[in-house]
Amino acid sequence: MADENEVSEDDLKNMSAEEIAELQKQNCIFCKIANKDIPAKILHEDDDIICILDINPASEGHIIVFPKKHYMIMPHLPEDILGKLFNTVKLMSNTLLRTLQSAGTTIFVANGMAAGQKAPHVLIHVFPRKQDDGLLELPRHDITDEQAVKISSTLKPYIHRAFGSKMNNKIPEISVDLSENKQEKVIEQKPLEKKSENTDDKNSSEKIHDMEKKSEKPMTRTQQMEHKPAKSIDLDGVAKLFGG
Amino acid sequence: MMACPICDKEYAKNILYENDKISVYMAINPAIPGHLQIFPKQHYAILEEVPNELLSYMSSATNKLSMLLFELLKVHGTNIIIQNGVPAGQTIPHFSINIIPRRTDDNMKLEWDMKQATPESLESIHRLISEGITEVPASNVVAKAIDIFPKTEERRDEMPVDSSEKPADIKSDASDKKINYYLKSLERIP
Repeated sequence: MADENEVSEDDLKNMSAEEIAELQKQNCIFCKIANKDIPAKILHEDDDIICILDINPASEGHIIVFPKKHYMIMPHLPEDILGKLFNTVKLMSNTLLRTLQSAGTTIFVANGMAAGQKAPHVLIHVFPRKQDDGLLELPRHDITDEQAVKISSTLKPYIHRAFGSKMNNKIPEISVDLSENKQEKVIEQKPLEKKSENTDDKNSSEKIHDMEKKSEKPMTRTQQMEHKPAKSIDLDGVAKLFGG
Repeated sequence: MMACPICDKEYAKNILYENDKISVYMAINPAIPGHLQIFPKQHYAILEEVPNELLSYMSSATNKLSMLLFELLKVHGTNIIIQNGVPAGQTIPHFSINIIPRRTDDNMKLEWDMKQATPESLESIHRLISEGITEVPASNVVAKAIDIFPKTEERRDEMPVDSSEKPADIKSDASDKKINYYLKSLERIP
């Protein structure tokens, strides 16, 4: 272990993604907590999941719920672990409401450093809230009707695909009109709109097809949801956020 | 039961997708363009009421949408946030999961100030909480949490008109297979 800790930046550059991931795993503090190599205030655990008290709490009673196995971001989790994780979060939130007479909890996950993720292990934060404690507020960003229509028309066909349903209607024509009237930004939107009008087009939507595991057959909704997230290159790339 | 704007479809304009279990919305009060919100079809006010199976389904849906935002909007990350109860910032009395796209340069502060807990306080809170962990539904605390929702809700229009800020930076070049641009920015070793 001592040797592995002495990895220079040059070494890192020459390592494969797998090697880096392995290195991270060995140095992951949350894996060590799960293995009981590092002590923690464990509240609850089973074979897959462990709940501990955060030693740097946002508020008293701040709990971290995480899988024992090393996964970097939430989209990497297998469906069964993911479901179990959220059900455990519910149990912890319920417990906080009762034991601390709290009237609310914040559940928080950061996927990626840009989202504030600090450790390369999926963590779900659950902490009790009091009225006006100012711990975590979502900013409000006003968007115009025009923007809303654009966002909506951009995302809609992809969301439908991701859930395994084809849209009955094509993109409303209004969005096409809008994009013609709109300035610079529209250029980037055009390929998508074209694509969404042609649901048989496979080339222009490979990524989304990847997410559907290249399934040609329509799936039932349940089958779709039982699908594990495709271990596509794209997704693994996203998890590289910590260099692994 | 108070009127629920989600069950009443007051924000139908924001719906991007729905099936028999969930509805995916463009967030009603977006933190940033691209902010999504998943609501269960059936009415549940807070997390504690949502059945396990449905919650699992919603968590899968959350992952799907995270991946979608990574791919489509080329964002650098996502925050998954549940505002569970009024003190947590929940304004609509219908449970939801927020999926917020993040970029390294978005200047959004979604963090809390970390406090330093003393071993004594950790010890006592640990005892208090671990003794209370039980699967028993907490109907009275649920009732209490629901009770404090404002009766007449102060609601904003779902799509406020005019904004002095720059238009949404929604990029969606589907034909661009290179996602290296945003992956690069993720590849940072702390």
